[in-house]
Amino acid sequence: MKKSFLSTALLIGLTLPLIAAPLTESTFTEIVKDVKVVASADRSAQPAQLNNLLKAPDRVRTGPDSRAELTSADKTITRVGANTVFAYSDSGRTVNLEQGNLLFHAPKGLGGGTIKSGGAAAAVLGTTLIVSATPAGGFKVILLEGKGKVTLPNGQSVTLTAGQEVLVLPGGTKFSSVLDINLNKLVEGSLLVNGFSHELSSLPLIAAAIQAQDSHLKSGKSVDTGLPPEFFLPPAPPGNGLTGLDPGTYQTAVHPPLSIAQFESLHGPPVGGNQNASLGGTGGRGVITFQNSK
Amino acid sequence: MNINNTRIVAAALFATAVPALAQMPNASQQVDAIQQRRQLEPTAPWSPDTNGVPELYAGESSDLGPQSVLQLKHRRQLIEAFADVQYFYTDNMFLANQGKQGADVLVSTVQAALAPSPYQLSDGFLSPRVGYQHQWFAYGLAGSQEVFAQIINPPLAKNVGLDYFDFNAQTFFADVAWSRQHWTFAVGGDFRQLMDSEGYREFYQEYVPHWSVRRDFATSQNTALSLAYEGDYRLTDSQYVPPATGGNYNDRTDHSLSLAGSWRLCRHVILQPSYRFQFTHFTRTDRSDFLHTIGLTLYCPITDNLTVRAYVAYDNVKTDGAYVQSYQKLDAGGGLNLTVRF
Repeated sequence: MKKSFLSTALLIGLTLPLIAAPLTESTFTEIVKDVKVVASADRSAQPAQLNNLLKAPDRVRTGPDSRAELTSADKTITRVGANTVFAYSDSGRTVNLEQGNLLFHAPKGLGGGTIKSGGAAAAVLGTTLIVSATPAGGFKVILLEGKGKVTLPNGQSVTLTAGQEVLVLPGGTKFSSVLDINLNKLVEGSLLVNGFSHELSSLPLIAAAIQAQDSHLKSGKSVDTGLPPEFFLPPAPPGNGLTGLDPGTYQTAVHPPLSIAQFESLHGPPVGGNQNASLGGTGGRGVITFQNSK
Repeated sequence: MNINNTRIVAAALFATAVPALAQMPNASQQVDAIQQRRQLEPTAPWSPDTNGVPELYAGESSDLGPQSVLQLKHRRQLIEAFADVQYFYTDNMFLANQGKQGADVLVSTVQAALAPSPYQLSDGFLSPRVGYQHQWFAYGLAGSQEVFAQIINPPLAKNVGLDYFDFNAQTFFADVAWSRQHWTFAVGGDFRQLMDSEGYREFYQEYVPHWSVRRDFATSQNTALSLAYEGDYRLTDSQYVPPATGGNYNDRTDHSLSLAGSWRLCRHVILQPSYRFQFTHFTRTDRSDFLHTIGLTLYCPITDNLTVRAYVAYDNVKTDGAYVQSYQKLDAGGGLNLTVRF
């Protein structure tokens, strides 16, 4: 009986983190420049106010060079970049990103979250990621720390770890290869990470991921290529080789046929009458066929 | 589609498209394009102009941050070895205007080059290369056709099989290409000798300084275009030339413009239509040739090293030369290529 009780307690302990609070609303904790809330009811747009609550299904829309941070009651952070449109779902822990850039961080044990754009979705548990999306279906996911799974409408999925990125081009239906990117460079230049007045709560975890990556770089196990696209492409097939030699050179190997008159102007009568034995036509190897000789 | 995207896809497709300008003056130039892209393991189908990963839209990077691709470090590769065999039918073996002679042709090629991984230089990448290539041309393997031919030395006229015209070509080449974003500039030089297949006796040689520039464009996620200009000057020495002329009778300069499309049907199938116009001027005889080539090639990369292909090409040549003819030619066949780097 005692054993049974312990088993039940353990099961509950493992299950509790999975019973997550829904992420349907968050508070604006920082606003930079042009950030508006678009009411779902009448589609009216009002400037976002600091400490105001954004509730699903109202949307946030940011202008150029603008960004905003929203923090939920459970400390889940959503940071949005310029020219971005997004909203929380009515239930669950889903963020619908219509276009733009978004950083999402859910503290461990809260059930993570799912960022959807078009038919694609990035599902994460206790991690920090950046998602970028275009209206045409382009989709990019970068993991800053932790682990996450990205799924396409066709069921294809990839799992990313810290410092990895995957993307789908606009109109595309499949993932790129998973890329390892320089996390330090990314974070240093990222406004979603550094463009706010206060530090991201998961920054120590990101720093740890950067440190791990740096140690790989310093040890020489990996290298920052900075290479242009063509150097990462699958090997090119060879040419079709229809003309292994250019036509002019080919003609010096396989001489074009000559008429009898042409031949006589070069060599005298054909067969035994050759007076210029060392001479040919355009070059050739000393073997000449005749026009209409068949 | 964002312009950055299109550029990146273009690069992806033209890694394969450029060789499809297949009717290039010499195979070494084709291989140059291949070589540049073989330098590194193919870890990603896309990467950016300077960062390694494309922006989905302009200005994306300021929010996200720059994305620079990391890669497992590989030992610098130095050698590229290449073996290729192609078998095709040509309806005009002798490049004749009338009385065309059809023939099956086997072209076998081996090549080895010192081709180190590219070096970064001025925001671009420099790919030097020096190597040797040998090609064997064999005719009439499938039949026993004969043609009537005049042999100059010793003077003799007789029927000969098409294999009588077999020959081979050896080429020493050195070139360097510099690539930046979607431009590639290349200069180089070849020394080529043609020899008969019986005793490997040389009957022609040429020194060929050459230069080229190429620009890639994307048109969609799976299609792209490439535009290229190539030029060369050929200093030649021919053994059999008309009376009162010299061995440099065939000195000439070539200038070609190529447009190639590439359509990736799936991962293992790429369709590549191409068009090339080439102007050739023979400087010793004031002869001019105008070549138009239309080609269609289907590539099937089986592995990173092994590719099979099927192709068809049509040539139309106009010339004002004295002992040559304007002609039309249709070739169709297939090939198998194996390339390794170490």
